[in-house]
Amino acid sequence: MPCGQGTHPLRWDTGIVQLPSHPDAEAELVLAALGGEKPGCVRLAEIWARHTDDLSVLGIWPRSAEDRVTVDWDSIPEPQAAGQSGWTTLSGGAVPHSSGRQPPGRQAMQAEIERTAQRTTDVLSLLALGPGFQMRLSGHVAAAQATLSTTMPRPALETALIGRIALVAEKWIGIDPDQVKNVTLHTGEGWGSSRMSGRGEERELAFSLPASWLASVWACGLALAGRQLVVAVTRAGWPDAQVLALRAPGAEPALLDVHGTADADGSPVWEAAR
Amino acid sequence: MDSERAETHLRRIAEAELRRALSPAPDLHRVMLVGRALTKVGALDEGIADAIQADLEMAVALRQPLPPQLRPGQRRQGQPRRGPGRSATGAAYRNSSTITATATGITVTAAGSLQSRRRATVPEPLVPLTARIPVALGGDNGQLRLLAYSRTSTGAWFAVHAWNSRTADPVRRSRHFGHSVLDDLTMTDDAGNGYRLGFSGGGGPDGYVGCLTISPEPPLGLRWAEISQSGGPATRFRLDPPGAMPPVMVTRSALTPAEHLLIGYATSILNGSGPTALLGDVVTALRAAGALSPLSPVPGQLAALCEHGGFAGHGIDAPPAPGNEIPEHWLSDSRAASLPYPADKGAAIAVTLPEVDGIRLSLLGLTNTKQDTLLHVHVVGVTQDIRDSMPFVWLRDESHGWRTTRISGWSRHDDEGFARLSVWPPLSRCSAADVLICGQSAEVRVSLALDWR
Repeated sequence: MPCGQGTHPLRWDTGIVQLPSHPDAEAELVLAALGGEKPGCVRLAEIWARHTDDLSVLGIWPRSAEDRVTVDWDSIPEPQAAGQSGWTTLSGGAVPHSSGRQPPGRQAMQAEIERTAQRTTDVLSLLALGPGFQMRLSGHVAAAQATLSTTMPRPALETALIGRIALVAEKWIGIDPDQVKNVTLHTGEGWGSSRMSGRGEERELAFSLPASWLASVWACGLALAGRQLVVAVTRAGWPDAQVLALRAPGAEPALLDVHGTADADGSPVWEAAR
Repeated sequence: MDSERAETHLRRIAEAELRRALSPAPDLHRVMLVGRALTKVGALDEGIADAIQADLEMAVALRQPLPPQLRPGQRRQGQPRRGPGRSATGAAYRNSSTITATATGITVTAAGSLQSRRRATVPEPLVPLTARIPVALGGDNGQLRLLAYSRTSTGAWFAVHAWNSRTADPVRRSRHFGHSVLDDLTMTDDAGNGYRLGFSGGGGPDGYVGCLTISPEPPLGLRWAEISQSGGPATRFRLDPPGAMPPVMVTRSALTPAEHLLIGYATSILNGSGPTALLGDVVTALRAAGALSPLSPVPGQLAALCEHGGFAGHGIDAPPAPGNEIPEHWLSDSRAASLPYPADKGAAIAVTLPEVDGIRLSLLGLTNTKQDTLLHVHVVGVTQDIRDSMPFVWLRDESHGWRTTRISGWSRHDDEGFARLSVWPPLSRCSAADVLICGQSAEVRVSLALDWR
């Protein structure tokens, strides 16, 4: 990623973002607090930390490896000093700027604009890290949300599950994603359930899966291993792991040993072990 | 109602639309319409609906192959490549406007208007007026029609409709924006006391509608008054007490907010401003949220209305109701549309109706422009956007059947407001009309004699 006048590596390892070019990031933060410029890498690590439990990540981020969202570093909005007012248009047209004291209503509106702008900058910066980091951040969010109380209303998490399992099911058995209905968050013992009803265009596939499926299976690229749908991980590991997988909807899941390799983006690709 | 189910339903629709993001046409309008319906009936918090819509818009935008110059914050040629994640306080995906505007125009307020006159006052019943006063309207020759006089908690006022006397020309709004449109009006009463008049209201192609507030407050029981502009010739008019109140019939009803919302769609369909293609999505969402009973007759009535009007593809899964189960006033025949007659005339009404859903509505008068019939109303009890607060208003003349109305201009201060309703089809050659006010809790009917002047 660009940082200052150069390009620095950013590394994610066992859940932690590392900045190899900034071995003493805390000291650089102190310098920034004293008026120095905060390095881009450090800034991005802060943004990452702000969004590791942000449910809107699951709403915006890719649903699958094929769902590519590409953001160029150059498309991230121009920085402005905090408190400055103004508008920036997508097409870069003329923009009015005002200065001086603003009435309270306008201040509130300006604050809202700044919040929106900050969020836009955050989202674009995180997406600019590429598919490998995108999937890992989704995993962080899913893991954080899965640990919350199961009695809380969870429409956003449930929809995140629907959006992803529907695409996995399409690749698994060729069903139209719109026919994947009645997907719920499983909260009891065991891995959950799956059921198919109807025929042809009337087919409906139902799932009940725990929220942790998003973090421990989907975000690890494990949703499909060979031609089987993975519903749980029984022994985590890299490059070898053991999972519980379904051959068909409604079937009982069976243990499956899987072996992973990394694709060009660094994303894992799993196959049934021979 | 179940807000969790409502939110889940809206998110599922958004997710389905995102799956179509790579196809030519993800339907963001569908999510917006369903979200708005769920918030209007109280099934879903507005902030959540907005967040779902915003996330979807961003998710779709990120998946579209935008040309480089339309990508957010695109670096201009020659600019250095920057590091990521720095604060960008001025950037926004969606440009927005700070201009407050009515449905068809701009809201303007003059000195001495409602904003500065909030105080206790002795109420006075509506007095119907028919006076027309020549005025300069933003530099053009205009006409000011006084519709009614009254005193409410905001003070004493005249309800007015002002328009360019060359009515074929729309009022040139750009010249009036940010300025007083009715300058320097003064009033003298029957005792020789002088008053300033300040306009507060909204404007558009049909002219300006709102009120002239009177300062200081005149005494009770004025017999006549004169209005002049910039010290020019005065026009005198009488302030006769209102005549006998026409009989009003109130029928209790018990519609749910969702049914009331669907009836609003019916009025929109009839006046040509409403959605038809996505009504099925709205009905399904309202049912999913527990806001609409599966036994409700309204979806079937709405389906019948769509099919009666030739709107295929409405998507409502309820069987269309038979003709005798469709509300009589929905059977408006817009094919009977004709130009208003008599044009450039008005009919005073000045009737205050019983409260419906916490809203007290006063019918002030009807005016015919060359193109439209406008019903002017005063509203008390408004707690939110006047367009979301108003009960639905229908008119029936003695020969041409029912007409629907839509709010085409409005102004509001605290819980009071003025609205201009466009009547469709326009009224032509009618000397009497029935008015039907449809709220959630009651229907009010009143028969009016119309004297066009």
